[in-house]
Amino acid sequence: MAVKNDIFEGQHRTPYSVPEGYFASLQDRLQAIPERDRQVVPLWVKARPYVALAACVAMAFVIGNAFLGRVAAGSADAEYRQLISEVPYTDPYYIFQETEDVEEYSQEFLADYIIESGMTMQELEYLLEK
Amino acid sequence: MSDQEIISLYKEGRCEQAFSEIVRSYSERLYWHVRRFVVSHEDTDDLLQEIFIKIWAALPSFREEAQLFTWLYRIATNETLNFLNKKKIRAALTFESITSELERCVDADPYFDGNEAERLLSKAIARLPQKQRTVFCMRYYDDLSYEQISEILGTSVGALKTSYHLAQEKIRIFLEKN
Repeated sequence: MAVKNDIFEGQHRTPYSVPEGYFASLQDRLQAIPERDRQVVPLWVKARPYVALAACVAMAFVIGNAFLGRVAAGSADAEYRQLISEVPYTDPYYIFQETEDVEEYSQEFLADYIIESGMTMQELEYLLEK
Repeated sequence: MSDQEIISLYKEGRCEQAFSEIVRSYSERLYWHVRRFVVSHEDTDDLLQEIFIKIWAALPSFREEAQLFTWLYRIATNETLNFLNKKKIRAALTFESITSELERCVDADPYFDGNEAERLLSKAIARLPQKQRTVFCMRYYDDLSYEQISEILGTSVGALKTSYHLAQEKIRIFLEKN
């Protein structure tokens, strides 16, 4: 195809179209933004995540405290041996065995993880090349 | 309504009315500005919602150091480039190129109504590096001056002229080959 010298001159048309009535409906949707922003969220809904976090911390504190109290209260030796025997021991040989139950992460999950981590394109390209 | 009148509305505390006028005056212009970058109508529609939500949130912090027009285009351009960067990361994970995806969008877009020459030109533009594509589209389609583009992108006029010239050359070469 011969390139005309005037391709960069004159008026330039964007070769795309839109569905009929699109811009009218677009304006209506955009005009609704301040209204959506104005909707009042009840205080208890706003506080819910913080209350949940506080409850988790409190529960961890109570359970941890009870557990540590039990350990410290009785005979150090006997209870220590009892505790150790309850801790599962894994032969290092088995740690490096592959299992069939490997969770596969979807591409979408990985992409979202990388984007949220703030990794730059240059860093990603470097890692992919390695 | 002119930009000055919109700013006056905003200064009088009538923010919603000012925003309403911005939507009326700029929604279609910003739509085409974004569309030339992302090609897909659906992506453009989604992005435009995000852009105007950002505009509404940032309106209280608008200072008259920049013109309203420049400020709006800057928000739209930054959001669009962020969107394309995220798309680039997603494409990299599947060892695909975002350039190929944009070219595919040109071919597959049901709302593309150009002739074959315009299709080739759109593909040539999709193949440009991001910075050159940004400058080229703003100069070629939006017909903005280098000074206006410089205010929007925060790049010197000299660098913009170089980017535009390089973009032109790459497009010429692509069109000659095809």
